[in-house]
Amino acid sequence: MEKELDSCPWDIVGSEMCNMTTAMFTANFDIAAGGEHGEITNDVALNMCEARGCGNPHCRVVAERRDTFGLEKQGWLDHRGQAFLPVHDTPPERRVKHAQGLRNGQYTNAFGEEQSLEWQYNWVAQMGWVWSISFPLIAIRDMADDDDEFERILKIVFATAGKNAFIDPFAREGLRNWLDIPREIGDNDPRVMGAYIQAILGCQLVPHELEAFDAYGVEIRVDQDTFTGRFEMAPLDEITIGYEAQWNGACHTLVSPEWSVWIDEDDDDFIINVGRKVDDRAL
Amino acid sequence: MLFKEDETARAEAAAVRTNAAWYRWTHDLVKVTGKDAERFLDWILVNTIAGLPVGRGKYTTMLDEAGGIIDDLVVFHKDEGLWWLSTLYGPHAVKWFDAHAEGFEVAYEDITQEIDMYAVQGPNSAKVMNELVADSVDELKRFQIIEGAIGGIAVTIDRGGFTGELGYEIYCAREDSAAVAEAIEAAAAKHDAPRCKTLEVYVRSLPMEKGMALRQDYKGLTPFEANLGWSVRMDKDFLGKEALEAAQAEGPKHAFVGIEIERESYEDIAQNEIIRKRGIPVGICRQMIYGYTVDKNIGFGIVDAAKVPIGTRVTIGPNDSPAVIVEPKWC
Repeated sequence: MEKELDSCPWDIVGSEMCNMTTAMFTANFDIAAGGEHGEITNDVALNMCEARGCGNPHCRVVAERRDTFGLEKQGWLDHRGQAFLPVHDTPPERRVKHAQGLRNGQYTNAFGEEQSLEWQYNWVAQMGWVWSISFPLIAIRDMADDDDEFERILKIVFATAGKNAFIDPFAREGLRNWLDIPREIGDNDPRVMGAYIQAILGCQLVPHELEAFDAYGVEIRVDQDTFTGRFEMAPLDEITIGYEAQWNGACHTLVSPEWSVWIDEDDDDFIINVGRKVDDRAL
Repeated sequence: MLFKEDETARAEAAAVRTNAAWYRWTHDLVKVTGKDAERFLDWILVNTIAGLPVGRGKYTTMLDEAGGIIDDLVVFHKDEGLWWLSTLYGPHAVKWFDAHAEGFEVAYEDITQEIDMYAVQGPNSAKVMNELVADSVDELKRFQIIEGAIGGIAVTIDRGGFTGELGYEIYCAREDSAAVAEAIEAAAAKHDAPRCKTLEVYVRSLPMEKGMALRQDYKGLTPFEANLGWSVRMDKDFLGKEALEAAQAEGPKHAFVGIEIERESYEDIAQNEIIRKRGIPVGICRQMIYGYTVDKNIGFGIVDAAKVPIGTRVTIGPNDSPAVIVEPKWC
């Protein structure tokens, strides 16, 4: 039995992630094949023979019975091997060129999904957070000596990610274009960052209220519970610190280092601020 | 639109404030008659109309079923069984009455076209009036309405006006208008009282300085939000009372405020221009004008009651003019 995904929405992630996914599928197989409830066997070898994220023309995952083909038991992440039997090859004319893209004003992918951009961005933002952020953070937390060290690493990682997002001029111009920011709003205006934060909150369906939005700064009010609880699959206590560091870094390149982002508490709310700040200990 | 440098307008305003001035003052008049006229008016208006003696008047608002102001007007009990409504929105009022007169034996008519009106306003307006009419007006009370004569022409006179000063209004048949105007001109000249020709001075600038607004300025507000609570009689039944009680229980959502532009400004800020606080919309302008008595660009606005207390700094208009929210009265 084999399964050709050809490509999937995660094809840009890279095959290490697929390695983990395939490991998870193996676990599912093992649990299901156990026969009696609770009995786990390892009857099936799952191999990710090809991965589009590695440059192959498509993704191919092959499952073969170990006893049939004399295969060894696979280790925890040993799923990028080759199948015992030769795999089929999809003729080029039947391959999917783009795994995901925009068509008819909608997001479409090789699974046959066609969703509004808003729907898909929310899904990607949520799931993307889980796979790309939460899981690595779990690994980092294990590695760090203590909570303070973990928080220090977390802030550095997020701040750098934020800064890097808008180093390139085309990234800044692209955001302006996407948000349709009028030219009157210049290169050193906090509202550019404010609008970007609003767009993210909107995509993630976090209700928010503008309290200030002018050339002197931006203030956005959110409820603490909705802000921190939006990724139900992987709630993370440090989500506030992560976003604060990321948005602060992004603000320095998207607008200028004169402007910073910080998050204040106000009863049950957070106030997300974009304002002028001098921070001698800035990351 | 009025400018600081407009010497003509400034002189007219000064005349009203310090001496007297006169002008043709046209507003609508709705005549109400019928067996149930008094009962009908008492129900459809928020102030107490029942028992108003002949020859007296009252200021009141008229509400819709949601408790919002749809008109503000002065009701005069002109004669037995005869009421005059002094309003700017006669045709609207008539339509409204049509929709709500069922069960009342009442007749009403927009008589604006038959009657012409003049106003004499200012601290010396009584002197001008006493030149005009046989019987002295000195004892007239506010909103008192009487029959009189100017040079043999029958007129109706009330003590009132829209400038915040002592003043009188003269009503005459339209065919007598020219003669009445001539007589007023002559009487006014004896006291150096000019004729006002700049409508924006006596309809917008002078009233606004004294905190008097046009009905359209109050759009959507309850009388309490519009600072007109003093004219509402909650101890009687009236159209819109239930909704008004509910609105009172909830607390005011909007506030009727004054606006002062903080710089020399030649902008023509229009009705419905957005008022922003830190860039966030918090209200709309109702009207803006120049006040010659106070020498400022002033205006009225409707704002979010909770977010915009008196003293809040705001920006208004497409050029983000800096302004401050103040009490809606300047002198």
